[in-house]
Amino acid sequence: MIAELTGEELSKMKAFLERFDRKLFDELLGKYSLATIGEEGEKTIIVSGRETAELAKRLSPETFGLPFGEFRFGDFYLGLEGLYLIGGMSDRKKVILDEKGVQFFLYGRDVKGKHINIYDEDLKTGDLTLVTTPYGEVIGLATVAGKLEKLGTVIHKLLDRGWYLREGG
Amino acid sequence: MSYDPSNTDPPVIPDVIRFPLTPGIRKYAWDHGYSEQLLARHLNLFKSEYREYLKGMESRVPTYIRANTLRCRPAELRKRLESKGFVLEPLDFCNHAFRLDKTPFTPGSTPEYLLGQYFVQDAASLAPVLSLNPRPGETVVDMCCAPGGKTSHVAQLMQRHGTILAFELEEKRMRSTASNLARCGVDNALLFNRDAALAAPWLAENDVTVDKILLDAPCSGEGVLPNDKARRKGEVEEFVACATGQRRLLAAAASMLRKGGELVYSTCAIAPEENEFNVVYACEKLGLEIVETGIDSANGAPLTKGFTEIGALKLPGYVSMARRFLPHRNRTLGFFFAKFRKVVE
Repeated sequence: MIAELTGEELSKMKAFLERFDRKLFDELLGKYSLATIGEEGEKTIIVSGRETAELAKRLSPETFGLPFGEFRFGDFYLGLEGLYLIGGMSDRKKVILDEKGVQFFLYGRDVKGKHINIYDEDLKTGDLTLVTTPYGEVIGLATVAGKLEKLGTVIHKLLDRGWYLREGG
Repeated sequence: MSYDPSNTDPPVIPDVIRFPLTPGIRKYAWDHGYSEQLLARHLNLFKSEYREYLKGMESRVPTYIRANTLRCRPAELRKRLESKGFVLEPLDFCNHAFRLDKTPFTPGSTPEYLLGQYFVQDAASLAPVLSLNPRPGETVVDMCCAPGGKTSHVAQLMQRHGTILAFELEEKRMRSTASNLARCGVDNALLFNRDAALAAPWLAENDVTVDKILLDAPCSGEGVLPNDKARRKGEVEEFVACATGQRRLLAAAASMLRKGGELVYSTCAIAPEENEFNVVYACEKLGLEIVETGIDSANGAPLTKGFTEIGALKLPGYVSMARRFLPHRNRTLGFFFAKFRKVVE
């Protein structure tokens, strides 16, 4: 079932995105139409153009647009394409890996400090961070597990685009 | 003898064409694992160049990739992949695709692939989308969309403006199709798990006007022989079953297309029953006129025109506007495509 996001869902999404950058939520709403697809308990948040969203409401496809994230039993989870989109809208809360670090991360592994080229100095241990290639493309989401300039494991993988190979089908 | 597509409601498929079997054909078929009739028809269809044809069908074709301009610039993608040891050669008929002349590891596992910057697909399968030429703002139907390669190609040519209605009948292929579309950043497609052959009245009820249609029809797949030896065992009776389904889809496509709208029909079959005969059916029975595809060569060699003489059988001259990719000429898989315009309501 395709539906508009409820006020509560919008608030949860906004609160989550503000952990990266305050402007993200408004920018997203300005660029895309948002909808959910699925049943209570497990809904996918879809972003698309307005024309595509209008047609989807009339025709009820199995899916449409880009999957931005999910609501699982009321909690918001950002998805791979959501990460990619917000990465293009803000430079905050990012660590930029070297090529080797990218490989490790896409294999689903944590990354050591020596593979981090650049990082946002506002990041603290426990923060969520976007993880990018040397070219700035977002390849996943991690938590900061230690001081970023140190040599030990410093980012702990939560989500990475290697998923497309491992589980994407 | 002329081919007559009459009595086509429901679509009547002509008997499969059968060619005489000679001792030489029987021996080659036995030695190389072909079904005899399949080999006989291929030798008769390509008789003046059958040695080269067989060699092409028994050799692997190169790997090709299409740069996804929704996610990258082709020149930058080339530079990045070459820095990893790949060697890329631009294609002569598509300015956003490359032949991989050297692959140090599988092209389906690079960060650039996972970022949706390219799609691994045979060069021939670029042709139907290039020929259809979807434009921003149009409504385009992809009738058999799995695994999403051509759908994402349509999306990149539409530059995110307009809408794609993508149909896939097989439920088990929906997940990988949705995954590929997401990976490639396609945000203007609606994905349906339903039979596109039944979609015309439903789209009309919902006031959807369809500007263009891509029909890459399920087929016997003899064209992929270079990559799949199992296809050598194909039996000609299969062509009848495939052609029946293809005509059902063609009739639906003609019905859902607006007047003046365009349709590209393609298969990876070699069989004329699934290709040239269906062109005649579309033109004589469905109110479609065949038009030039706009693509006449690939990898430095001309594409082969649709056959107008098959053994003793003669087909209308317009069939020659269809085009075939052949492994021994174009270094691609075997592929057939034809473009049509709807001329009557």
